[in-house]
Amino acid sequence: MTPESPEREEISDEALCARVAAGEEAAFDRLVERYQGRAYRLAWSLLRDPEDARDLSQEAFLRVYQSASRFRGDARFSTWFYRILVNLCLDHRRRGRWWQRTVTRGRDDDDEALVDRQPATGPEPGERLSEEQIMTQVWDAVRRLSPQQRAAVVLSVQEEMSTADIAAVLECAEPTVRVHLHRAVQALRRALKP
Amino acid sequence: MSATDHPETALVPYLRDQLAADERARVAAHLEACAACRGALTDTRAVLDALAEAAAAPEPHWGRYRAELRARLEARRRATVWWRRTVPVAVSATLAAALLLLTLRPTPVEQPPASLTPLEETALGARLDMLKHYEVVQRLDMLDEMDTVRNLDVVPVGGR
Repeated sequence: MTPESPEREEISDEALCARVAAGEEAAFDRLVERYQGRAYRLAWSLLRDPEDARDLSQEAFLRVYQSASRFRGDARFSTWFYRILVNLCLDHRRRGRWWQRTVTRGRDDDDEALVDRQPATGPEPGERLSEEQIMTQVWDAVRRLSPQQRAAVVLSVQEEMSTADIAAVLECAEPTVRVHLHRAVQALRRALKP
Repeated sequence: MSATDHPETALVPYLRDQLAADERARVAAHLEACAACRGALTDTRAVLDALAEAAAAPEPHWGRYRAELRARLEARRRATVWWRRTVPVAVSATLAAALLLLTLRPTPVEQPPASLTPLEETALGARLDMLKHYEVVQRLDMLDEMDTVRNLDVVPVGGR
């Protein structure tokens, strides 16, 4: 069978997941090929670290392999997979913040740490921001959002998911997702205003 | 939707064309009438555009990525096999050891509850002669009462 054959394209994610549950290695490889780009990009957007993005997106695939038999099929595979991945990333960030807080508290006498904690200086009035600076500013603003807001925004903008699908991934009500998105946009608007 | 009921939380789904037809029509009608919401819509679009432009992630080498994933999968599988083999053996060994300990444990001999220690018994025995004078001790109370009766006329009224 060639990679471009119609049969290869026709198999749904859900059917592939069922084959993974039945122990078919090739089905797992195909799911990985289908989702690797999206998984890595989503993890990278939530974590902003290439190593962590690779590690956690791979971990999400391992979880799929291990628990494919528990996928009930009442939701789409993509929703289930994103839920695993987003939960991994948000847990990782929570643990990271705890560690960061502990380390920073331990370095209170360190002058460098104090300098690090000063707010970043903005551009001089009239200075035009480069594209790279704008991107840095955007991601800094995204990083300051709450985990739920950040996940909602990334899933909406990057993965172009509907609010209903985001609600299924984040396991909350759709109006809650709308509120997350609204508050995130407000916060980003404030942060990006010249 | 009234003029004061601003559809703020519907702006992102409106821009992404994710609203049902009736809600979309209500939001559109409100936007026609509300300059503040039109401004908010413009700002929201600018934020979403900036995010979409900033969303480009550096791509890893996918061949290496899949090789790493495969290696992790194999490692986890080996760990699972080891776990499945080792845990039942460990659990069985622990249970066997616990049973053995229970079987070999000496049965404690039931002792009657000792109300007095030997030291207390000796001390009490030494004072048994006090019982000979028990009647005298009992009558001391009577002497107290007789003394009170004898002095009734001396006790002031009111008892003080």
